[in-house]
Amino acid sequence: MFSSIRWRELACALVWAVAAGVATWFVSLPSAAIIAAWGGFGGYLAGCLLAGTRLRMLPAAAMAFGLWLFSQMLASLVSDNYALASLLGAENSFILSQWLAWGGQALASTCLLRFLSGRQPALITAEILSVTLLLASPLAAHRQGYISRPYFLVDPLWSQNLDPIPVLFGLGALAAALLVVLQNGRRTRRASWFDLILLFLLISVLYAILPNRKLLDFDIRDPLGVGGKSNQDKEKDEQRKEQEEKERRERQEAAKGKGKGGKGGRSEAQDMELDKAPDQDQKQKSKPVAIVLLDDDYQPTFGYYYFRQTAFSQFNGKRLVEDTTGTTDRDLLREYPGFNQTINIETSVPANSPYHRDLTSFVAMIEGHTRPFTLVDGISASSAENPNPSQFMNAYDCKSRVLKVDYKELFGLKAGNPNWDEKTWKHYTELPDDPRYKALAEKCLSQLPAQYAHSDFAKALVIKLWMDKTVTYTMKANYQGSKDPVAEYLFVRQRGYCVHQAHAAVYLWRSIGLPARCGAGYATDARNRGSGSSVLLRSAEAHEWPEVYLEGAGWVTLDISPEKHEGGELEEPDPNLQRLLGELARAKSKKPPAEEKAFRKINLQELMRFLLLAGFQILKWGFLTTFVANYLYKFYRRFEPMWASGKRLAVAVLRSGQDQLAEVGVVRAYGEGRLEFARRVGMEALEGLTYRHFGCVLGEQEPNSKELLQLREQLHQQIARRYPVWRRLLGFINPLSWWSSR
Amino acid sequence: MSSTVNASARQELLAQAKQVVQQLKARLTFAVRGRDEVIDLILIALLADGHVLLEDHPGSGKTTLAKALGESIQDEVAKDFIEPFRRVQFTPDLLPSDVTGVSVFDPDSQQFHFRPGPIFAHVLLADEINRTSPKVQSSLLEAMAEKQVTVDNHTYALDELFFVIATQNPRDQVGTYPLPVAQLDRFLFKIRMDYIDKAAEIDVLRSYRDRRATAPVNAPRVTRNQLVEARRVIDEHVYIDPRLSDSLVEVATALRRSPEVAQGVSTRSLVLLLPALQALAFMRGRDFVIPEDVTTLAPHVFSHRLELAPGVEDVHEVVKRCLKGPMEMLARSTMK
Repeated sequence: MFSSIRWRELACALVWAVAAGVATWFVSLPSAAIIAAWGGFGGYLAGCLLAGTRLRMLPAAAMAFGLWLFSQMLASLVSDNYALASLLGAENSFILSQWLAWGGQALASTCLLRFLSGRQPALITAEILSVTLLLASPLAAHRQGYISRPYFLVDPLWSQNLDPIPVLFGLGALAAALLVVLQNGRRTRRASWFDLILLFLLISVLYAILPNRKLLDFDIRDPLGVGGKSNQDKEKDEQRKEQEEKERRERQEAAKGKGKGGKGGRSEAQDMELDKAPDQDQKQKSKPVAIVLLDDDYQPTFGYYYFRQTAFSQFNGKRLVEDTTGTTDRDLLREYPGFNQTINIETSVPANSPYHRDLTSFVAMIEGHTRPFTLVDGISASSAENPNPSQFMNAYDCKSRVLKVDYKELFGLKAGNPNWDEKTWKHYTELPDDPRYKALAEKCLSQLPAQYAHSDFAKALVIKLWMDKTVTYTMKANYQGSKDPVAEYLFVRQRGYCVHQAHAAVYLWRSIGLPARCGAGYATDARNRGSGSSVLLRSAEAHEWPEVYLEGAGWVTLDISPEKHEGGELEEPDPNLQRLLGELARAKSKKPPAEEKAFRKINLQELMRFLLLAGFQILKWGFLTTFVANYLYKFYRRFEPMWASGKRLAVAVLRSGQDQLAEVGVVRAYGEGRLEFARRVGMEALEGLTYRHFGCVLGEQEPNSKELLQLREQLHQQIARRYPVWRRLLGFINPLSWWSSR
Repeated sequence: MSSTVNASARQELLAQAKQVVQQLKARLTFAVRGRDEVIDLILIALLADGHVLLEDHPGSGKTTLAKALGESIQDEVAKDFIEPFRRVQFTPDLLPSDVTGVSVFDPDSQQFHFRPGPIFAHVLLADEINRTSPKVQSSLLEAMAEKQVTVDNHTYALDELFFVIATQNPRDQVGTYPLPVAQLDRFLFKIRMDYIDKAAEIDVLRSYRDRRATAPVNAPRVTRNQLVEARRVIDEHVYIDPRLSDSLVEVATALRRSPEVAQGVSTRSLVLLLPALQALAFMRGRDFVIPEDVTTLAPHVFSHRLELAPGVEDVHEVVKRCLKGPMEMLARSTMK
């Protein structure tokens, strides 16, 4: 009786034991889980044995149900009965009742399930499903993406900043796959191995419909304490697209709460105020916001690295704001690249520009930003592995086309782009209806040397130089209550910070027809560049600057640098901090040192996705290859009689005939003799072929090729006579027809 | 060139053997109507040097058949005491010496003389073999397997052509001694004879008088030597592919492994099956054995050797099921 239990049953029983134990672990005592595991183990084996007896299904089901009922009643008796409880003690009686309840449940249900699937192989699917669910349900217990169970499994993953979902998912899938493999070994038909492919598809579908839940950000970041607190940055990365509305609110909060800096407003706050000076606190230490690693020792033309996050080009009647039409300022990187995604930016700089060269950089964000930035002018951005998740919010690679020539070489370029339509021209040259701008601009132009009279860039430059000389940079300017802060700044007080300077310069350029806009983001002194081309960006380096558009060079940054400066000199970045952050950023992202490669962290979600994609690719190519290979083999078999000789000919002729019959659906049954089959089909030619085939293969006859080919021809004619053309044609194009021809 | 000469000589030999078998068959079919299949099987057993056990009802023509077979064989060696045909009706009070023979004291010569029993024949019909005691049954054992009889510690050889047709009634089991498996294993075939069909039965009645009158003179008899020679020719010139004999082992393994079978078939049964396959192929005009021959003979060879698990009824179905896998493998192997 017990001989029917082989190692396979034992392995299956073990899987069941684990499933029952895991399922009980989270709802009852650990000891009850062990009892339940034994129950699952025993139940499975009992089911196996029972399936081999002559017991009918209904009594078996009744028995299992009875067992279950009995164990539950006994359990409740032990725990509820006053006399028993007092005899055993409250704790002991509770433990005993748990043992009885869960052990009995596991035993009865496993036994029944195994019994049923032992009788009805189709129910094995139910068995597999149950195990998967049992294993997955407690593992997947979570609340709003906070996967907390089981702690022993999830906590270590979390501390590594890994998403436990793929791990749990993988465990469930693994258990199911194991069971499929074990159960398939039992069945006689190999076709059931297709279950594995089915399982793979099922998992893929499940995974595809699972919400894209990433871990929420926790304050486990920033162990070095350099980032400060950032409450509103949470969830920004994930929810940016869907929650435009929420984001705006957050940005407002950010503007209030975080707009602190030495040089200008916060670039994050895109609706920066012109009339209100930011809260000032010169003593506050400027926080690092990002570290940028440049691929080479690029030195910017104007002595500053400009990182553009956005641009203000649309005149809204009062000031410049971000473009709302969606047709201009297409050269901005508006969102972070997603996983394995590369965003190409419609940069304004032509690819063959002689004034620019390409430069690759790597950005690691310390502080959360709703928008990424690129070194001007960005060409593309692609996702990159976060080199140190505990320190950086996220990271990406970007390519930029940077200005490599001195500005003198730009004198020959015309402003604007001849390809622009009228609307775009108007967009970039619109300014307040105030004649003073034009008057002032023309006054500046009068100082322009005659040889540069027709150079648009020289015109822009002369206005910039005038402003450099005239205005004073100060953070203390307060234009609160002013009706037109820019006009008041430029024509009256001439004291202000970057936002005022940028607006004034843009209006002046626009007044003489030069297309201009304000760029916003970070600007940092090239001299601050640390060792190894790392550039540390600090919150105080948020900046706004004017840009002018030159044909063939795109948007050129032409920042105002006033000679007169009042306070607020930003201290140099802490070189140690800069080096440290630079090393952290470089550590595992750009060129991982060989010895650290072994410790590379694997992003499980990405791995899972990669595996799924790889699986699909394999399926796709496998399918195609199988298709082609089937055709090739089919035709090889069909036409083999043309070149085969000797005994092989006898085989080839019969096989090609049988293949042809298989195409019209006439196949030999399993275990049927060849001659028997030929008689059943009722074609003499086939019988003759089979007989000669046997004579050559099993006897000692020499094949008579002429006779064989003649019989083959007869068989062909007989098939043609008996079956209609469409049936034969349909069979002919079926690549799998030869499968059934045995 | 030599191979073609060999081949034609071989065909010649086979044709001669075929002639002998056809003569024999013509005599038997003339004597017994509507039993062509049984006749074929008996001829196969005769050619394969095996014995048959007929399971049938009284009056189904088995004696006629056995007698016709015995009478068809002409013995050239006239001086020995071996007869072409003998019949023993087995009863409970039969003694082994009634079958094998007994040494009798001759007062004239003051010596014991061996008087051979009915077993000294070419064809022995052992009627209702299960009605006699195991002692008598076992006395047949040595004779069937070794073709010799030992009486009073003296061994007497039987003829090479010794062929036993035993019968038993499947219905009437009262007061019988069912044959043990060891003895059943010595029969090549157990043939179950059902009632013949209506047309054949009518034919039997109509041709009864004619056959009684003409049977002995109509067809020529075959000689014992011819039959022995036919056996040799078949054994030598009908080819069995190794794949085929391998598949027999597969069949036996499948039967032994089947949960429906309590005890599987013996290796001896496989050894006995080989010449039977050759004989069948020969009877069907081939000089090679094909898988269909196995399918045809396996039920007759295996059915009485299997001990089925409790609750399993149809032995032929079991054999058929167990044949499928090995036969499929064999069929596929011929395509490689």
